[in-house]
Amino acid sequence: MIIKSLKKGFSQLWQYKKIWVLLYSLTFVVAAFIAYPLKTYLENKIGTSLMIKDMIKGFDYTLYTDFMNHYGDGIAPIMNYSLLLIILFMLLFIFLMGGILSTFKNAPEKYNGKSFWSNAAHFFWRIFRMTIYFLFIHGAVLGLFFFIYLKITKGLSPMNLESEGIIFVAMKIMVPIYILFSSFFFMWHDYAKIHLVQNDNKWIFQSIIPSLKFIIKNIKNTWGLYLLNVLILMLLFIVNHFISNSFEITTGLSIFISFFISQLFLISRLGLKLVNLSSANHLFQENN
Amino acid sequence: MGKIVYTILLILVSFWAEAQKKRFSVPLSPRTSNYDIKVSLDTEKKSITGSQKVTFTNPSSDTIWTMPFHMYYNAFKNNLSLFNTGYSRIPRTISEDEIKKGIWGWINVDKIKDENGNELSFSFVQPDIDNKDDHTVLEVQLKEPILPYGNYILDMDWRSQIPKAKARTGYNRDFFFMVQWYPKLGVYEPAGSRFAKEGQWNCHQYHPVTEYFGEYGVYQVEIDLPVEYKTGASGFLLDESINGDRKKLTYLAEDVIDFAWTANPGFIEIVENWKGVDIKLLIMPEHVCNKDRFLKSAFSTLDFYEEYIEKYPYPSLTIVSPPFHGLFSGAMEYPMLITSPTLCDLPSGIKTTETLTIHELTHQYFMQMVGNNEQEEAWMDEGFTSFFEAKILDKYYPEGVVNFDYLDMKVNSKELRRGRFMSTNNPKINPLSDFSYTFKHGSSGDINYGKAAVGLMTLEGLVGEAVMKDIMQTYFARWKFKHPCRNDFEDVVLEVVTEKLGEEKAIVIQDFLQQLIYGTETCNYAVEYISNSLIGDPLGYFDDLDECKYPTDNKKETYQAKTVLFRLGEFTLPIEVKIIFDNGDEIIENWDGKARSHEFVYTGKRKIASVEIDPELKNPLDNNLIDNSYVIEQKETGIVRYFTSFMTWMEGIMVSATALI
Repeated sequence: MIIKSLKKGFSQLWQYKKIWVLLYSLTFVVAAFIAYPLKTYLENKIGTSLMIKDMIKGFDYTLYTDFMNHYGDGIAPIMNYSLLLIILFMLLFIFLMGGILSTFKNAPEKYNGKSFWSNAAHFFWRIFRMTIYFLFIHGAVLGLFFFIYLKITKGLSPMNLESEGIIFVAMKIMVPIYILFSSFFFMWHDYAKIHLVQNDNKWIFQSIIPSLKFIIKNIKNTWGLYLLNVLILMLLFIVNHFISNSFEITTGLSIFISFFISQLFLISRLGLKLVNLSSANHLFQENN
Repeated sequence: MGKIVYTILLILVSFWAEAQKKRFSVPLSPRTSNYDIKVSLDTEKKSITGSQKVTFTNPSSDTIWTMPFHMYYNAFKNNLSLFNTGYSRIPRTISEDEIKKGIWGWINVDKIKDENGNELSFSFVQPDIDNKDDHTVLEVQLKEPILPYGNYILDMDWRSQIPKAKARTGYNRDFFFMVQWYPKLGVYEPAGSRFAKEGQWNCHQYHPVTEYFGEYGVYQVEIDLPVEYKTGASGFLLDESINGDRKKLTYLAEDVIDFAWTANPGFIEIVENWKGVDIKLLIMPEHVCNKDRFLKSAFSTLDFYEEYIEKYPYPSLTIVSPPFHGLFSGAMEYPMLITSPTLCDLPSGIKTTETLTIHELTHQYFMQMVGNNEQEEAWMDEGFTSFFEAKILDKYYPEGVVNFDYLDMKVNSKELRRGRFMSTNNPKINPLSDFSYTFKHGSSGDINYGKAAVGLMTLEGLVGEAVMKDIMQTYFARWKFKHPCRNDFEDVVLEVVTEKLGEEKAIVIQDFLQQLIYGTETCNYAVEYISNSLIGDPLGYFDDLDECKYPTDNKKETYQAKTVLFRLGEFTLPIEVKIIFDNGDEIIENWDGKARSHEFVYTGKRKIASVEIDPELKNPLDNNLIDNSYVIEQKETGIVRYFTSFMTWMEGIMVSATALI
């Protein structure tokens, strides 16, 4: 069942590649809007300095400190503006989620723009509210783990610890546990959205509770599928790490190649996000 | 039986012979203050009882009637001491529970007698700040004076409650770090030495931001403690005896300004040898993974100084890597003993272990052998060590002190030191010439370490590496085992510069030192602009009103190429300017850097392509190196790299954030 759902996910990704293109385009455009003011600012402030040649090799500490000390005031507004645009991006993504899940649910032969956008608008507020609720849940899980970590490490106080080993050992043990544990809640969030779109529930708790029951009832399949999706994502990260570190950036061409690889990586991540949703949607439909 | 006796005798003789070999046949220092201390450590009560015989030689023609002693542990005696009020009254390391239980650190002298058995009176005094609750200086009234150039012997009995994990000293659990732990005599400064106009004791209270000052002498210290404790100390082990569950260790440290020791049953002892010097590393089992890093950095430092200044003269060096719960001991320097904390889980690209070891080991030269007053002129050791730390690290660790390949990040020590100083909130807060104990509001680190080190780097840039080496060698040779002040360093600099580079250069350097040591101003030169204007034909009426000159088609392509430089800071320095023309010509111009602005103008077919102030980066004091250059044609590749990287990061953040949706 897991593999079947995963296959379905990949086939739907290709079937509705316009959604994939849409998500990437949106990400690219928003990121470009965020980064462009920085480029302009750098050009205006330090564009005539010979030091900018040091930027090609990557991080230059002297350039960084002198820049922040003398021109750093202009960075804060750029960062605030970036934050605003990221929030806007997230709102847009919430908006698109209804359209994405409806498309996977209805499975039209090919992408139907009209249906996509109307469903996006139809589910927007409910998915938005659900996102807020789950933000609290994710925050609580993170807070719980942090609390346990502080308890184990006695508040990270050197005075109270025999050695620093516990700080690192606890982290090495707790981070994987946290990833495993929190993945359950991220998965729950996915199924809650799917349930909401499948049943068009008026109240979001009509989806949050039943989706939890569904997950628990089919825990082997649901969590198995989710962890398989996470594993594929991790493999992607590892491959990207090796590729992007396999060459040095010293020229304009190498900057272009590096940027191109990073975009391929990003497109793949977005694709895997859609595969995850589509495969979970398939699993949900198959077991209901 | 005879064989056994013979063997024991042989061992004792060889031990004695080994110890004798480590003694200096000729004293290195004047040995003005000598200590014979016996101390017993109670590991349960966290206390010590001690007695000491202090032999002082009057270095002056003065007749002295008092003797002041540092009682450093009394800084932790109450919440109103000068030290603790500097830390907002209640030290952070004292919990409410400890306060209720009355756990404070103190040192109390029970009895003082002179050589003739006279019991002497004593009282606490406050030579710097009138705070009667501060008991960190004890003044002894002598019944018989110390005669000019005469010897004087005191016997003192004292007890201490060891403070729990205070700044640099104390205990936590079973780790004892015993520094500034005994009544330590002040330094007598004869008239004319350092800033003394007449003979005087120099014995400051324990201020929160400064370290110490001590007189050269010989310390023989017998430590009585439980047998299971592993120890390290200034000097070398002279004798060891075990009696039941306790042992007595006698250490001898010659020609030093202080004596420190540590004890902990958990230490692992690793001993290596560097050209006859015993290097002992006391390290916790969980930190052994970094032992090679300690040893390599220590060996590199010793190699460096052997070549740059002089071979390390002492028979031993102990490096203490404290346990995590002993981090209060900090990264510190004492004669023949340094502390350097480490963590095995830190990424190998962060060279903290090496940096601390090199820095603290450098203090063996500046503050231990060249005995400046850390309470008054901390920059003369901290600035010097920071300067050398960067030099040594960049020589032996060219990969940088912060190095993450996958982030394309490589920071070397010199630029890290400069960047940290340039990023301080108030680089003008104090001149170096202010007495260090008066530094407030966090300025001590910024000025004593940062400004002094970057200033010395700039001095090296101005005089060149070879002359800088001469300066340091001369300064060291002249002032080792003595107590110099800033005037003495300035004198050496000017003397060497005059000799090697001439009087004109010496005037420049004198001006530089004045600004660096006594001023608070910052330095910044900038290239304001470049202009390349076509020089046209003369147009209009000149001598003859009947003849008007009109534009012709005969273009000569002659340019007035000009660049304008600004001095934006108050600190002035002579600067070099590299000018590159569009035909590839390069010239180096010089500007004395005094005026607020300056221009270089050229007429001809060449246009200026770029201008660079201080192209060889001789002046790291310039607080903005970005505006030091100007190029007509922008080379945007670097900016494009940042733009694409930033954009990719933002995309990554956004896609990661969608996990929450």
